[in-house]
Amino acid sequence: MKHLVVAIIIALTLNIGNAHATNIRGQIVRYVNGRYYPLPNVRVDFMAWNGQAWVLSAYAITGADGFYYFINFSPGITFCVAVLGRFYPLQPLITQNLAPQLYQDVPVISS
Amino acid sequence: MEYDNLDPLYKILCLALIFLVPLAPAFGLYKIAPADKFLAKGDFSGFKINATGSAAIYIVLFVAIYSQTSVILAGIDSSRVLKNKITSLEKDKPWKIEYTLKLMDQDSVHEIEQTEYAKYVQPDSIICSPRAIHFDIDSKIITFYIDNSLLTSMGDTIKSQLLLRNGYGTTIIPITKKLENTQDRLIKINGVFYKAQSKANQINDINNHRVAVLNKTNSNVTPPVVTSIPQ
Repeated sequence: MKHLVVAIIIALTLNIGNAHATNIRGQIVRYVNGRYYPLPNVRVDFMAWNGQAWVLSAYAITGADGFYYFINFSPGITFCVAVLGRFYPLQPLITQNLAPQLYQDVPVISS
Repeated sequence: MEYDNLDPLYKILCLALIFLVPLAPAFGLYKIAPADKFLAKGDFSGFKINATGSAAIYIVLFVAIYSQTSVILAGIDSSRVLKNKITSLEKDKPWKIEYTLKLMDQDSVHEIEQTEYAKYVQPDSIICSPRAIHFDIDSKIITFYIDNSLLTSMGDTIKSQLLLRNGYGTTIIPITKKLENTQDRLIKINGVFYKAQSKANQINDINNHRVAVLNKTNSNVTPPVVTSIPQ
């Protein structure tokens, strides 16, 4: 019985993160005449690692401000983004569980 | 009963050596001083012994070693038993998980200073079962151990959760079980984490070079190699 209670406590503790979601955000910009400008209408693919291969999990189109958003991901997913046929960043990332008003920012990408 | 599994040939070899070892000094005496009158006289296991020269040397040495035979054989047995026990313990020793952290700065491009890690990673930052952890600030490695029996009973993924502080949030550590490395019993993982950002627009910060920007040279033409999951 004692072990069961401990197991339940551990299971509940480990599942705290599952109750929340992660919001990811990034910005695509273009470098023109020494300045960066937001780049709208660019498709960004969210690539998730399923343990054996990369799979296209979702995609987004950048808005007028160059931002793209991926929302409601479970924390713990290994991911990268693909923009215009290239994959960013050089190292894969892991989704974090953050407060709802915060974003996990992928580095700004310049086309 | 623990000795049942011992290889009998190994014992026979040891017994043969006990018979052969006294031969060397006996042969030496025979060669160096064949006429030397070394005398051995007495009872041995109900036999009357009356020998001279190198034969006497052999008998004396053999009797001396023979009296220790049981001790030697018991020593061989116990060393073999100990070796078997060590092998058995090695087979069941816990798995060591080494989680190398990389926390990125506000610009999501540069890693934070090493001295800052203590602000974000606390000794209770990782939740796993069993909860035995160590965080080495120099190597930025979180270490914890999982019992072999527990690991075997787990599913495909080891359940763990990393709690980082001051803007790095929480994450489930995706540790995919890969148990081929049974000799070292070591699973190494790398994790890169970004600091949380507010919804503020960054374009001014970019143009003022307060935020770094990735370009094609910072990208791959193929998806990056996954090092966060054991290879």
